[in-house]
Amino acid sequence: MNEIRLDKSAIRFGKGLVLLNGAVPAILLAWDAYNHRLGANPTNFAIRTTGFLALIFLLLSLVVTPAAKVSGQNWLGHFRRSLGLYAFFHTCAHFTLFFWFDRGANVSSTLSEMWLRKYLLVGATGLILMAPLAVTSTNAAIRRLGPKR
Amino acid sequence: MMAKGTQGTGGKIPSNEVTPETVYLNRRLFMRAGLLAGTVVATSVAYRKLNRAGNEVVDTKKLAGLVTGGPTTGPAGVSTAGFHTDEAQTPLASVTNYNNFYEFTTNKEGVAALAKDFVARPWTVEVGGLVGKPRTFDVDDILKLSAPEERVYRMRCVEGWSMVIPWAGFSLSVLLNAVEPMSDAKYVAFETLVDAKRFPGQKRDVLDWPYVEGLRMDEAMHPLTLLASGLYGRELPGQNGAPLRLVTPWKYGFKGIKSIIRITLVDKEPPTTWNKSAPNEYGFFANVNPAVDHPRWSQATEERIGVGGRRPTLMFNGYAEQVGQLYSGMDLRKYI
Repeated sequence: MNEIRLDKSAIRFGKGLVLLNGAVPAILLAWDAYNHRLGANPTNFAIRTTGFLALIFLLLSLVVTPAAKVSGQNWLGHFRRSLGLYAFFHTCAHFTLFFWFDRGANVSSTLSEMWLRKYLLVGATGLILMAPLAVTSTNAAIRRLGPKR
Repeated sequence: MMAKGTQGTGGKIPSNEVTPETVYLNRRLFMRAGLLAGTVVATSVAYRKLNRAGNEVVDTKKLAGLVTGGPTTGPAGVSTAGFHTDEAQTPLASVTNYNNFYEFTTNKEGVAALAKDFVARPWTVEVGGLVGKPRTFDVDDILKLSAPEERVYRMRCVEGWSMVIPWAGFSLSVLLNAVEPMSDAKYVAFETLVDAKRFPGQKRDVLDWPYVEGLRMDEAMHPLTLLASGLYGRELPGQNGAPLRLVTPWKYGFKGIKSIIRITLVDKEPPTTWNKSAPNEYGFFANVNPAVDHPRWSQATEERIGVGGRRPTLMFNGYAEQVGQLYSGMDLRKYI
């Protein structure tokens, strides 16, 4: 298949499409929470959902570059940043929900629980690794840090 | 982008057939709006399908002759201490839509939907082993042994959450006394039905089926130990262990074996499912103990379902006064 070339307006539209669809799960989750429709254990439900969403968006953002290379559809690369930022957003929400609602915003209980549940350390490491990527993803940062364009 | 092809052959197309720019732009806008709306609807539907909170409504039969007299109920001469906590009860919708019942599925919020059409009749329970009068009961004959009493117990799951549930049933001791235990009976072993047609979760080997549990004889004879046939004044729904289950409120919830078909009195400690599955994490006793952490998480606090926020977990789930003496002299760090 030949590479599809998108004009500027189509790229802008595509980015908007990804942005809007990416926001849907978080909006529905917030809407359900507001209406008390998260089931018997809302805290756990919201933590689990944001965790899954973080994983899904992380995977999607990681798939973009290989998929573009393999298929030759380089326009796919335009959507990578929003997918990565959604992964970061959900990771932050995931951690905040755990800290605030599960641990009652208690730092020592959060830390001791993280020590007991080793998989929490894996998640926390992921959050720490993603933070600099998110911070340096603005256009200005890319201009300053990235290759010459 | 779509216009390029037609523009390339522009010379052959009469000018009155060329789409005017405004119409072309409108069509592009229209298609984009459609694409936007279509994908957003698809994403919403996918999210709703894949991430549902349980919301099945329970409509099992109301129990006839339920004794709700408060702390005065219970067999004559038996202490009824601990039979009724006055803490706020967990809503029926939560009790029946948040279940650990791996015979259906490992997804707590998915059990109710799979258990909706569970048929709990006819049902027999074989009570035997070291007893004077072994007998295979029809479950309805067991229920005739004593009137169902309402018992409002705390329930603490080993995963770190808890509920307050108005059960209906009577002390297990009533049934055990009816079959006359022999003096060398030291333990009671329980077994859940195996039937992959009714328990679809049993098609997968997530646990070693059948689910088996056990109690020491003194635990089994304790008045708090409940043979439950209902909750909230209704017959037990499938997801809560119809038609007959065990409730031991001072132990973690997994000791409360559901849908029982066999009760056997034995002289040695019987195997128990979670201990077989992860011996370093689950012992035979499984008494609620905030001082002994699960190897993978703390047991010091619990999330009370329907209330929100964590509260401290109590020793023996708040039933220390009633059952503490059963374990005097035992190292509860060793006998988990």
